[in-house]
Amino acid sequence: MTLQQLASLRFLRRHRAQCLLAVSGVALGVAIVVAIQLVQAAARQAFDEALHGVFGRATHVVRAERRDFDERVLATVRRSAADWQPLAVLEGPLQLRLADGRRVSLRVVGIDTLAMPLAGATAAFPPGPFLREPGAVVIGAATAAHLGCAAGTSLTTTAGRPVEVLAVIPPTARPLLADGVALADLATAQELLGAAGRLSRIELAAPPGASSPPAALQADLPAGLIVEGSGAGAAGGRQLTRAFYTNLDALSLLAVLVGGFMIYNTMAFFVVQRAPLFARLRALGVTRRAIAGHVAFEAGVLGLLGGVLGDALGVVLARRLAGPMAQTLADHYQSTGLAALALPPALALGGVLLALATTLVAALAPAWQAASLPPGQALVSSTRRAHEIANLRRAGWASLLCLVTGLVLLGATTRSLYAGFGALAALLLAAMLAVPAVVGAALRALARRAAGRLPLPERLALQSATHALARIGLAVAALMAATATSIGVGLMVTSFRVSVDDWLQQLLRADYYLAQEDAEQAPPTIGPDFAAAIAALPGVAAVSRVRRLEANLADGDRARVTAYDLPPAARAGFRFLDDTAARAWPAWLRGEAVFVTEPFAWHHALRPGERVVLDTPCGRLDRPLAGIYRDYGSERGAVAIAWSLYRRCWGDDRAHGIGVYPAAGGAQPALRDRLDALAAGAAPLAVWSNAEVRARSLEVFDRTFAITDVLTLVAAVVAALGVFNALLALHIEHAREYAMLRATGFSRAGLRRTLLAQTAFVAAAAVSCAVPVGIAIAALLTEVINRRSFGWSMQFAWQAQALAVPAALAFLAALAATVYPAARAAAIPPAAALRHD
Amino acid sequence: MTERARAGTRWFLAAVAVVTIGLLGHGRAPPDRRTGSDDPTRYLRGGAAGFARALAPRVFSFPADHGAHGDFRSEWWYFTGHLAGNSRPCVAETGGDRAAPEATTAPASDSTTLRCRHGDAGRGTRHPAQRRPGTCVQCDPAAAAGRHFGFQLTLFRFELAPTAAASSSAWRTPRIMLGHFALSDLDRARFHHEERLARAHPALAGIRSAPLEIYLDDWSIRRLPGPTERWSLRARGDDAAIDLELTATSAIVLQGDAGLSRKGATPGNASYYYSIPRLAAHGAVEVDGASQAVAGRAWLDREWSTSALERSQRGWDWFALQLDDGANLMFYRLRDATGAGAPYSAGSLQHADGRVEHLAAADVTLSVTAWWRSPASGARYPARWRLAVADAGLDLDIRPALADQEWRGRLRYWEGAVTVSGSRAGRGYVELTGY
Repeated sequence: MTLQQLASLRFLRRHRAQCLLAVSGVALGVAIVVAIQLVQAAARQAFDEALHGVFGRATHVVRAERRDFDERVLATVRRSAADWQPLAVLEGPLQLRLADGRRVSLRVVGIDTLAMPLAGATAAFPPGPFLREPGAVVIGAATAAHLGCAAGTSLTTTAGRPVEVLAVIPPTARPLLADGVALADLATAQELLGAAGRLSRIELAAPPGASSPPAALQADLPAGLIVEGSGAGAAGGRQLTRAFYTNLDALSLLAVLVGGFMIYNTMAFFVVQRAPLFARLRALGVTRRAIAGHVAFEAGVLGLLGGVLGDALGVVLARRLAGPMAQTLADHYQSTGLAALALPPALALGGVLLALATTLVAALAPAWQAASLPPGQALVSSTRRAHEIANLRRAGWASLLCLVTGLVLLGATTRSLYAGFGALAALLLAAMLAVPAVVGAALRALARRAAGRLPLPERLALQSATHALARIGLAVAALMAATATSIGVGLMVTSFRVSVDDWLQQLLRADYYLAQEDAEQAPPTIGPDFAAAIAALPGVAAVSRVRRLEANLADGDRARVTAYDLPPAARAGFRFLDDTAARAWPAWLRGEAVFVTEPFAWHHALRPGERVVLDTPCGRLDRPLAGIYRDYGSERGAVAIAWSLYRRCWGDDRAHGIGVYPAAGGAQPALRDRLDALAAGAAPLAVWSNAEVRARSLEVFDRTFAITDVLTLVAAVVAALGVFNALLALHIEHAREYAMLRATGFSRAGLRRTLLAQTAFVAAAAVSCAVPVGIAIAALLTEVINRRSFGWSMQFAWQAQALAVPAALAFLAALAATVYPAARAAAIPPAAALRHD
Repeated sequence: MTERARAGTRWFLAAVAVVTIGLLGHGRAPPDRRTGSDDPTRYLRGGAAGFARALAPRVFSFPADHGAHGDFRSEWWYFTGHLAGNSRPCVAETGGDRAAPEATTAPASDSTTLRCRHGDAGRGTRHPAQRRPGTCVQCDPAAAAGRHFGFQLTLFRFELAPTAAASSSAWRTPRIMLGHFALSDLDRARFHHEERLARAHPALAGIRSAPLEIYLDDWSIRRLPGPTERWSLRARGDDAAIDLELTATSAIVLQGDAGLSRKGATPGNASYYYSIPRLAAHGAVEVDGASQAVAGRAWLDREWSTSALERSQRGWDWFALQLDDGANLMFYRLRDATGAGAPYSAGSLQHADGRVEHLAAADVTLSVTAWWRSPASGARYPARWRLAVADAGLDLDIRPALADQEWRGRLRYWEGAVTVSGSRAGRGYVELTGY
């Protein structure tokens, strides 16, 4: 170890608090990136598992249009496709009550144990008891950790049935069980789920050389059952989840930006703080290269420490995020939950490399700068200031460049999501680069106008703030970026929520809705007689009916088709993008035209007047697109057809749901009771008032976006920590000035007040910048990112809370971050600080 | 199975099947296959509590005893036989009420003709899986002439526990069905074999009584109602299928001590074992999508038990020979670790007139005169034998009708058609396990 390295280590040791800050800064930056990547990978894996079957080998799947079907179908499948290793699966949610009173939901995946691929599985758990013992389940390590149980633990369902954890599969073994999944034998699953005789799907694995299942299989399947490639399902599913990943990508991008700035900021502080030392070393004859090497060594040590710590922290953070994420996946995608959040080596290494690379880059630039000053000059503060002004100017040009890049990206593309993200990143970067200069200008302007009227400590603070900016500019930029992003995402979510709520209110024209409990894919059970009986109830003016269908599009994609039987009152629920589309109602009612939802039109690049071609049971249906209506119900979108067309083409008259439109002055409470009574007769129907539907929809919505709240909060905390770090550095640099102030009669409290005010001015200016930038981000998210990924348009909603809360939070966080550094700086005895010279 | 098997008899099949599917262990650790230190048969020996044992001779009653004996842990219906393509053309007949192929000549004869229902005769293009039960396969007389086949169809029953737990789910059953189907295409020297495994379930697999039917997917063994022993077999693999009707031409033989077949010194290490050594077979065989009428002879072995094997037993060689003079000979040699015959080897000789002589190990001289090494598995099997029963004046030279009739799947063993020459001519089946 060279003398310089020893000197470095001694420096690091003597500045333990600073080291800790630097390392924690690096670690936080890495942690955010790692956590988001982890959660994202887990979500993706969970989804892929859902696609490729329990053992990841399914190439095709037999499923019903409904969620489950009669298990006797398995006999047909085994006969027609014996060499496709049919695996019967029943899947469903199971509520457990834990010993500590917690209620948790597991997803039971029941398999025909004898048909499961045995290689490896028998090593992980004993198939004998698995098959024989009622209630026996096998779970993954992550689930065991969440439930706080181990192999041999007995659990109880909320219905009082015993569940025994037979084995816990370590993440390294197979089958890889996603978090929240309990693997069970089919008998156990049927018993636990109360679904005797039912299957969710039959997974098939193509034998070598075969690509499509025997034609006989499809021919032999009972009506309502289909066999499809898990690839085909994957295409639809991928499209579905792509939108979800888009959200994550956006957050990941934010994390990298904030994390990167965080690291840069920390390291730059670490180096600049010692600019005089480096200058002295240079004066003593140490080469520039040697100083750079010296800094690189330190950066390496800190980066490595921070990276490793960040990896660990990232896993912890990911676990915190996994909860809301898993719920979101379950709400929207019937996913089996998240896989075990184990840190893959590649990601761990990536985290450390990110830390190392960023710290090195962050440290070397300032170090090189410090080292490149002629030895004497670094000691003279005016030279440094000139240098900083040059830096500001350079940042201004870079900002302009980013701005132009962002605008070009936006202007030149209309559909590319990546271009949208690129533009978002470029514009945010432009804002960040411009922040120190803008804040500086604002503070100078303020100083000119108001300084005279302020008390001395505040006046001093205002005037010194512009100088401080050079040092804490980066931290301020990061603070601004985090605040702006919080504002932007908050505004976007608010707008989105307002749009959805608005849409729901518009859509929910009926007073009551009767829907099948297991609605998503279940076969319809509401016959025309039942609908007629509802319509005949006193106080009911009309009923609407809805039936969910699926059909192949001309391009092979599978599309949702919704058949509506709409009384005039219900038609008002459709809000068309183009109001003139309402004129097409008569043609639509006759089945001569179709409507599509906005996302559908976006994904298939359809415009009114173009043709929509569907493969239906009565052949190819080719209809003009008469109107595009708003719908946030599905990311994939749907085609709306008239009931008459459905009846004609699908030869069916049954519905999934009914809307009840009351006559004027109908006695509502009595009506509800009657509906409840009728629905109780028709087994799986639930009665919802329109207020309940709306409340439940918004609840799901809020849960979906809970994760964005968590992440923006984390970003804000990180930014505040950056401010804290930067202020400490600032105060160390300015210790001599403060000592002078103290020496000339400033009290300790007065100095504290000055320093607090200084930060307050800077933070206020930064947060003020964050507001317009945040609005711009919100606009980009709603108009560009969401539209390009989901196809949804939404009205922009101004909500003071979405603006004020992040701004106030950031301001307070920055102030809080000031308290300790200010108190510390003020506490240094002036004599001690001055003696250095 | 790549490891060397260490058990004997069909019990080896049963034991290894059960161990392979990993179900029996009351101890939860799966056997250690790498060291080979685990004897799979231990899984059949342990955990027999609650099951009935074969301890003493019993009174057999037919047809009831053709059915399942669910209080014993394992049981099987084991058919083997030789078939030959029929040189006479199929007769397409209109107005036939019977859906299944049907013999037009006396069942005792090896020469039978197949009648197909008119409507089905030309529907050879339908996918095999779509064929409904009772539909006749397409006849292809040109392809049928002179071709020879061996077949094996076995359905095993295993109980994982002596009693079934009450449940709403049909899958909560201790009964497991395993099926082995093999077709040896002797002229084209191809061996087709296929395995099926399923839990007993009304729609999938199980045993029905009155009339008796043992079924596993679309494989089935049915006993046709009536006083005569008539059976119907159906099985379909990837590229081979059989659809046969069998009629007994010999009496039932109770093996061992009036049907109690002892396999070892430990009391209860025995099975109940009877055979129908000769059944006339006719029906259809389908290979690679082409179907043809066939006729021939089959052999049924029936055995049930809870445990049978001694730890020292390593494998067995089983012979079921149908001699042209009408005699039927069954002999099995249990081998111990040294490869020598164990004292409980036994057999029976049923003469053409129906007399049955029971054979003890000492009554039979059996020597291997040639060996064959499987190119696929590397295992070395006996491939020619001299089998002599001095008291009966028998000195037989037994040769595989096809060298490679090795089962390669979850289980590895050799089971195949053989031809007999020497003092008597004939045909038969040989099973070799533990090599």
